[in-house]
Amino acid sequence: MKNDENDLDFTLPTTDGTAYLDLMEVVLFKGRTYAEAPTAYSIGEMATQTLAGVTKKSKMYGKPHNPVHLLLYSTDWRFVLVREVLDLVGLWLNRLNPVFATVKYVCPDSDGGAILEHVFPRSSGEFTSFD
Amino acid sequence: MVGAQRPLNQEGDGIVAVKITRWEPDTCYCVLEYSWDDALPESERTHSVSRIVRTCPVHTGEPTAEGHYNTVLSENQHKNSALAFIRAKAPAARVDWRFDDNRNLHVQLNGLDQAAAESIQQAVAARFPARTTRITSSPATDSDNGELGHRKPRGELASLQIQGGSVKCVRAKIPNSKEQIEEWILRSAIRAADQRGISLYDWQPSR
Repeated sequence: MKNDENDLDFTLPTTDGTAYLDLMEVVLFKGRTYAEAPTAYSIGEMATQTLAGVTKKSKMYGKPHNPVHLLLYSTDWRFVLVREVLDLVGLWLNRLNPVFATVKYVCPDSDGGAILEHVFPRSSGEFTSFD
Repeated sequence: MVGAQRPLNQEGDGIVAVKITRWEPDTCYCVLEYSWDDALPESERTHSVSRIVRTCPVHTGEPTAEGHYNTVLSENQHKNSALAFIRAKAPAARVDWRFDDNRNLHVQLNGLDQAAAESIQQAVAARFPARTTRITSSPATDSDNGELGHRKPRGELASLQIQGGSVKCVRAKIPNSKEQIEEWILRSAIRAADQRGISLYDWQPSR
């Protein structure tokens, strides 16, 4: 259910009790419209900016009594997160251990479906090939 | 809604076609299917719940499919009726709405002063005495610009669709306000999770 504007975005009554869901849009520019944004991005820069947004949100929550899940999303093709960005963010979040129980990424498509990817937490074995 | 047709029973020398309609209401995240007989005139048709496809967190406590369907239907019909009533009373106001934890309908009328909102609140209470509907208002601002809720930059998402050897680019219909976009995002995520057979609500850490 949708919560008030200044609260966490959604309340999720789960089988394990109440959890909360917060949403964060992935955006990498300071302009007024998406059309002003560059049509390509650096994977490292996008991952760094996304991580900065997640950790900033994480610090805002302190130590929540109930699990808080984070759903990252894109609403413009210029900021769709590719696998390499998601893996980098997942690796860094594994090391930083934010307050979020999980972090997922969703990008809707025109058919009513969506790309849905799990970002955090990940098993350490998934990153053995990373430098 | 998605419609399907199944011959469910026979009467006399013909097969009675009962239609199944999938319904995804905009008042919760349930998905339900109901059946109806299109051989009957519209005025005589009745809808019977045939399957609960997905139960949202709000309606997990419904003990029967019929009760579940009736509850969701009742909330949805009340929302539709109340908003139609309110829009007739305040046609110039921009309307935003939501349900609270107790399933009371909250309606925000943007571009309306408090006195007018209170008058509408009284009229709604008299018209729909069985349900609690809360009306709030906010005066018009320069930034409203005819959109609901908090405006944000409009992005572009599209996918390539290949049909019969031709390829076309189909744009996603992205809502305007921040609130609507967040609802849309969550619905998209739930739908994607359903398609993959996983639960978005009960995420299990993999470590």
